[in-house]
Amino acid sequence: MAQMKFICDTERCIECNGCVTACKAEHDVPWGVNRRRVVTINDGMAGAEKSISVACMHCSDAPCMAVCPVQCFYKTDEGVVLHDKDVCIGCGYCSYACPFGAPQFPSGAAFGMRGKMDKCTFCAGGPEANGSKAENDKYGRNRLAEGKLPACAEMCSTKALLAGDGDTIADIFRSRVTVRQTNGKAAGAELFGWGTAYGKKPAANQEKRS
Amino acid sequence: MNATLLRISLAVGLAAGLTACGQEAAKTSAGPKADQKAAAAADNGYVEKTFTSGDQASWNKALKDRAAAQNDYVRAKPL
Repeated sequence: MAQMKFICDTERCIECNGCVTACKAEHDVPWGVNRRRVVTINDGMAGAEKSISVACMHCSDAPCMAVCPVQCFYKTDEGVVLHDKDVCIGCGYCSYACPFGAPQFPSGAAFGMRGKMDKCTFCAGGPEANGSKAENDKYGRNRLAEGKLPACAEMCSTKALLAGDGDTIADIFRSRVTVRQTNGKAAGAELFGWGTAYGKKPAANQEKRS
Repeated sequence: MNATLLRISLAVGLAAGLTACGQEAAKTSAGPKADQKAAAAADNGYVEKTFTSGDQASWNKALKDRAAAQNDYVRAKPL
């Protein structure tokens, strides 16, 4: 069974925000909510500037699931962490627990009240029927049930953002690191978020094997 | 008389106090609704023809092939 994961290759990300735009457009994400965003560090410093596209990493042992007081989260057979908006009470505990800042809350309600939590679904929708209007209205498009990968990764122009079966995308990333090492370039094996979300780094495994 | 009254009030108090122990814990929620498998094709006109709806093995293969296609070293042949 495939286990769905994200990898963002910081050596390739050019901060174009194509992933953010693709996500916003694909799911009609409202103003104030960003399921995915690009974070840049060392801005303007030649050679040291790095960008990374961040969203829900669909952690193996998701802390949001652990802290939710109403158990609105569930994990699919493919390892995608989803939630039921009909159960969510908008308490915000998940946003404090998440190391990636994935849970988002629309703030359009009266008196600044938080709405139901919204986050990246790995383009897998929610508990409503696959591809139904109800699912689309609440969670956005269900691309996995259409045989497609998340829109952000498929739209990435430099293929910095990889999505899909963990073993497959780890192999792709590993081959890139090897090629860069061979060419004497910065290998970029320090994969942000992978260890936090999944407990191990594919590049580290590669080093152990060689 | 006072001792009997004390015993009766103690027994009543104890019985009233222990009734809470038999109560079921309050349930906050029933949890999320059951979700369909991802291999069950979406009910729209945008489904890829690379898998058969409901066939987990064909869906797995379709998604794996699609993920592997992200490898530009394979797609772009060296000159």
